[in-house]
Amino acid sequence: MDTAPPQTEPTGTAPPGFGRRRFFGFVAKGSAFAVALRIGADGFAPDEASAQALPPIPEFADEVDLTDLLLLSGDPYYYDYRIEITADNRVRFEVPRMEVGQGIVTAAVMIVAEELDVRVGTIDATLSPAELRRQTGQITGGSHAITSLWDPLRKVTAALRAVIVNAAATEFGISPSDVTTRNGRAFAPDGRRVRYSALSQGVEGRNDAARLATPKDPSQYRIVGRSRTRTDARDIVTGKVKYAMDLDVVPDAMPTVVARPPTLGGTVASFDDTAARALPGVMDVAEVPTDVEGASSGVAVVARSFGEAFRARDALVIEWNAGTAEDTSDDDIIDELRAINLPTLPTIPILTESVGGEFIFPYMAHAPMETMTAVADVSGGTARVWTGAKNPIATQSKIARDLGMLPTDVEVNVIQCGGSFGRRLFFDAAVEAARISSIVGRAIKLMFTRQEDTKFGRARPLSLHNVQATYTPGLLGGDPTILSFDHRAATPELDLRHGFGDGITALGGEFAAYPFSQTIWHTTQLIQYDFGATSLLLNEKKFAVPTSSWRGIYSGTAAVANEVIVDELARAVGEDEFDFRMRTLDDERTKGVLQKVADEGDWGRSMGARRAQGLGVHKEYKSRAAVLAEVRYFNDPDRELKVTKLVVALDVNRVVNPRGLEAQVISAATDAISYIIRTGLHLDNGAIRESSYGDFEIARMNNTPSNIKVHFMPPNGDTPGGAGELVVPAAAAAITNAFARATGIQPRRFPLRDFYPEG
Amino acid sequence: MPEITFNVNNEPVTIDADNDDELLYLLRDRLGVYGPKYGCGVGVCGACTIFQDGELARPCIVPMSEVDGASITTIEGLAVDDVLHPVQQAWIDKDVAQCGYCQAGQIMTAVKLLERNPNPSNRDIDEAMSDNICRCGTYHRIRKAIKRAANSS
Repeated sequence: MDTAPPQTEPTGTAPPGFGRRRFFGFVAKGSAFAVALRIGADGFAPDEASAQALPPIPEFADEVDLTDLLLLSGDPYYYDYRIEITADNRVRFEVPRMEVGQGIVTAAVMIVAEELDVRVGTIDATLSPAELRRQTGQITGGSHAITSLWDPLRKVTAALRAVIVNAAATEFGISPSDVTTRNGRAFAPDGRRVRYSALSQGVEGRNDAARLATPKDPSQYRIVGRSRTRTDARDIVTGKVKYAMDLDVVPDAMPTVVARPPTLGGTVASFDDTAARALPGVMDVAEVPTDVEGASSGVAVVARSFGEAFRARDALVIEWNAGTAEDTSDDDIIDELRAINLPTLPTIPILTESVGGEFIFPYMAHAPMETMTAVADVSGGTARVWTGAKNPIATQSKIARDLGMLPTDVEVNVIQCGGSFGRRLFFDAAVEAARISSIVGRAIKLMFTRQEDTKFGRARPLSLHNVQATYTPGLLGGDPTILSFDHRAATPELDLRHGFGDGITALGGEFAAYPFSQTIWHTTQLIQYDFGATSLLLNEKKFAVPTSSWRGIYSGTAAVANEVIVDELARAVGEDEFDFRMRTLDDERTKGVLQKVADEGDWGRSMGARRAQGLGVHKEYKSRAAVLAEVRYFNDPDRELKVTKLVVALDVNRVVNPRGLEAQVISAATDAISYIIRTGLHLDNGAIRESSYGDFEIARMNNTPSNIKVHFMPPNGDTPGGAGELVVPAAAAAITNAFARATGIQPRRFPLRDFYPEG
Repeated sequence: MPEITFNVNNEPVTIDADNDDELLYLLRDRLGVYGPKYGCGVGVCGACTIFQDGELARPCIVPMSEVDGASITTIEGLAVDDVLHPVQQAWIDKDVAQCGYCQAGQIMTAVKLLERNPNPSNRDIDEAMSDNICRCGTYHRIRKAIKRAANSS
């Protein structure tokens, strides 16, 4: 960063607290800042000059990002794997992460196969249960799975291979340097061979000495970097994969559903279960009190089948106490967010222009195909749970707190699940299932219905973003100069009590004094351009709708608003949106992916009427993404905007499994179509309006393009970056920008089809 | 107690019929046939799609009373003697699945599409498959897999 003058307190209309919050927000980038200062010094009265003299604090995420924090907090626990070599010379491998469909098991298996010199097909992988000793090393979220596995898993496996090579050398009576390994066997130069299983039983537990091991040089890779089909592909297409509700681990665990209140936060006043208990198959009915954190529940019904449980639930007569937000609807929340949001900086009145606006994104359900589910058996002072948990240790500790047990009395088995998108950062069903099991005194299978998960599940918070950029038009033939870029976000509080926080806030220094959400915001949000003085601030307020990060966390909304304003800025200064980005982006890797999509997607090509291209770029997770979207609009309220083509370029430093990563890219782009064009949740007087896929209308096949091209930049030697969420903001921005270019509309509200029906 | 009898993947089953439970819950909770998944319970997502007497059906909205004497095929019954159906094989070849939860329903729907239209266009595929939701967004590869299966048979 260039040096800049001493900090001065902002003057004028700043509300209380502004100075303190400012610590996180301001940055001056490069030479553009000097221009701003010079204009201020030369041309303006002291008050106006001081309003522009922003403190030179770098954007936090440019220095330390969320990936860094996750890695720092998890690192002490990463060198701990179970890689067992069985008597029949297969490999049993436990992955201390969660498989939600993102392909982490396949990628991890590829890394082990590469370093151990065994065939991928000889590795049987399962998911580690919650293990307290893993602490912050057993978290899946924030797109850091590959990044956090990369060195530890390669090195632990390389150390195991070294043990095997040494044992073989002893057996052969030769030097270890003369031993070669292939397909689970060690070879002597004279052709003698021995199976791994005769030399080692593998490794289990903490192995910090492996930090010194030397993994293979990438030039030797035969598996990593080449496309592999998912290890469970055959089991999926034959129906053999067992999700939590398919398990027979506890033979008498019975189907269970919960009758929930009509509005959020409602509680049971009284109920009559006479009719319900008389129905076929009903085994038990019980009230479930609010949990240890005050989350409301309802009345649980245990039955022989889920269908019987549903009918008994519907036969319950329940008096409900009022909810916690009966007078609150979306517009009330928007009004309150406007009231707490800080104003963007005042513009310099002379010689400068500005573009900007207020963006609003709705509450958004995660809506994984498999609703929240858990098998629970609480008896004899212990609890056993089987569930799809991204944070199994946090799951374990909350169940323990809720039941008054020690975490060591709670067993949490991690089960592959039907999607997450952020929903399974939390463990609502696991906690509730354990409570119900303890109340009814039997093992149960708890399933949220789709309607419950939509109405009473969690959501990405509604968010409001005031974004403003100021610039001087090009004077005397020079380039226009961007002077400032402000982003003020106001959102309902994002619930982050899912286990990331403890390790990270211990590292966080100054951040520890702020809500953890501020840490997440400031380690993920940045301005990707040399735009002079920039600031990004988050303001939060608690509302009744339960929340959880949605794929992309804040970037899925905030970064999209920024990219829309970047497009508008380019047009305002009379530049092509691609050229403007290439001139002002502050990062060569981002320019690389943007150039790639422009070349591959033929940016600027002639499009037919009501068709347009749009661009979006995103930098996060140590990775870069650019998307070029093409859209068609019909100027007909009955035909929504159609994305006709997507060209995506990614720079993730190194791709482990190209086919798996391509799937994540297309998946993220499909998410963007869902929330940018099609759907969102609505809060009406304390209740969520939507109930199922019939009215929460995520993308179906006919809403997605058949023309999708994905390009990966070549490996650059660095640790693989994250990518599961990376493309969400870039694709969302590209689609929105294409819509704007096709229609001339300045998009501000989402989903587009609800607010711009003519588009 | 009244009973109904039907076939599931060519095995006859008999079950007490003293209620009007839906077929999905009979299959899953009473018979342990877990291939069909609960996704919405109201017939809008397709995750439970099966064949009932050779036609596509959504067992979450098929009452038990309509099942007596029926012949039911689930994803578990699609492969014959461990030889995968060409659609299943195409699904592996194109690495379609992500979380996998909806894929049984997708595959069953694709099998019926190809039975009535052996060479579907993109538009035909979109039309036939758009009643099946995939939250992971595997639609792009589903299109490719259907075309591959069409070409392989």
